[in-house]
Amino acid sequence: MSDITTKMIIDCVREVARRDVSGDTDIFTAGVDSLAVLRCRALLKKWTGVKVPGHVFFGGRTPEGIVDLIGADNAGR
Amino acid sequence: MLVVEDSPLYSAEFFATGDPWSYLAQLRREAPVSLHRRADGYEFYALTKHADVHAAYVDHTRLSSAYGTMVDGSYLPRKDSASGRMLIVADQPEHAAIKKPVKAGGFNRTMLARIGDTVRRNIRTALDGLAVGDRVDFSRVVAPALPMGVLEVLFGIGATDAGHLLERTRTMIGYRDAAYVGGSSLDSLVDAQLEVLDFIEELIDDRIASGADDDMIGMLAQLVASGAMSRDVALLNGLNVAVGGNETTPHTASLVVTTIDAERDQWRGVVDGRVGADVATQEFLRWTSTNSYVQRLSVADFEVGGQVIPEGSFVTLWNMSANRDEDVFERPDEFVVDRQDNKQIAFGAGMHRCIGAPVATLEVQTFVEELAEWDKAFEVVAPPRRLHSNFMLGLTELQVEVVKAKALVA
Repeated sequence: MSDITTKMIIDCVREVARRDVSGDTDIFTAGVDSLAVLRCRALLKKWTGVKVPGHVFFGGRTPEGIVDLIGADNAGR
Repeated sequence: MLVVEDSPLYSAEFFATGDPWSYLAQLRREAPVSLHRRADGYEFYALTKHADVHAAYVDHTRLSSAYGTMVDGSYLPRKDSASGRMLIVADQPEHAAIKKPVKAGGFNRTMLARIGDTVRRNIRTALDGLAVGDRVDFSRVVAPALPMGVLEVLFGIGATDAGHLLERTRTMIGYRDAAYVGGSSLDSLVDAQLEVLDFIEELIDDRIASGADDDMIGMLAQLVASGAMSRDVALLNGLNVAVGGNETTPHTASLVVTTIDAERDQWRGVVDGRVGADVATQEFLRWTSTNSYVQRLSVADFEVGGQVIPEGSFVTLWNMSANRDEDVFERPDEFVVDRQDNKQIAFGAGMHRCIGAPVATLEVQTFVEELAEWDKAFEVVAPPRRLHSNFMLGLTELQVEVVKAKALVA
């Protein structure tokens, strides 16, 4: 799961929501919604083979926060 | 106008352990239109009379659905990304454009007949699996049989997938209730929601590939394929139908069982055939009022019950209160199994009246018919546990013992 980088999150937000965000932008304030998360998740799976649980997006909120949460989830397993 | 600070109508706890029926009856008598405030500043008007609730339902131009139909659905009066794209939160003209294909694909006569057969089969299977002396939690063992058949037909899926989908939507709606989710409730909500959306998207892709349009998902999929509907709209409305269908009738079924247990003499009329299952079903719908209220936002001043509700206000329409209105129902606080000309408003009214109302009525009536025919009956053996929700009146646990039918209606 640690293969997922902040850049990947930024790239997928650009792709699915057509928004340019930086590592510390709250993606939901920037206009991402559940359906965009759904698409983002599908893209990440295509790129890395990993299916990220939805709550990681809503809990992390920023690309950096999301990656941190993925790492934390991973470490806890 | 009565202003209630820290109103119990906000409290899921009050609906699980208190007496919301009495509180609403008091409002109906003393302050039919009232304003309810919470410490954080959220406030809504509450309509409690049948006539006022009905008037509000049909005035969809002044009372918008686009700002969420649940209190706290969104904190500020603002639209969210599903507004105008999902039936329950769409105003005209978008609403009509979405409703037409959903209704044509999912709720036509052929589909209703297929749903009826499947629901009956599932209810029979559930009841046949029970023997005299069995003690079960009805809400988990039997109640899900009602919506399961609907899902099987509308979504074109097997019983296993339907059961899985039911668990997910249950988590979404009941995420505040510890009976349905453990641990972090909001995490469970979003994970469940995304899983349901993923699942529906897979179904849509399957139907686009196969070209099949013989169920609701197929119909939506072909609209997506032809470009007449966006994929997002198809997904959102698939989700809307799944949640609306799953998280209502199981609760109604559980409350039908507790009502029969409490009203055994009246139930005998249905068993003997003196009271039609259709008539009894209308009274069960009035009595249980599973969806307690819906919320609207006034987009213009709205006059109701001799009061003016200013533009920009949340307004709640209390179905459960309207269904006990003494001006409309004789003996409103009594269950009357053979009530005639029943004006129950459990499904709302006007263009937003529950799109699944014919299906839900069919489910409940089929359940009533099968119970009346059954050679056994359910006896409630422990106080039921009510759902922690002010939006859905239901039971999360209903311990029953299976007894001989004669034991209940001697």
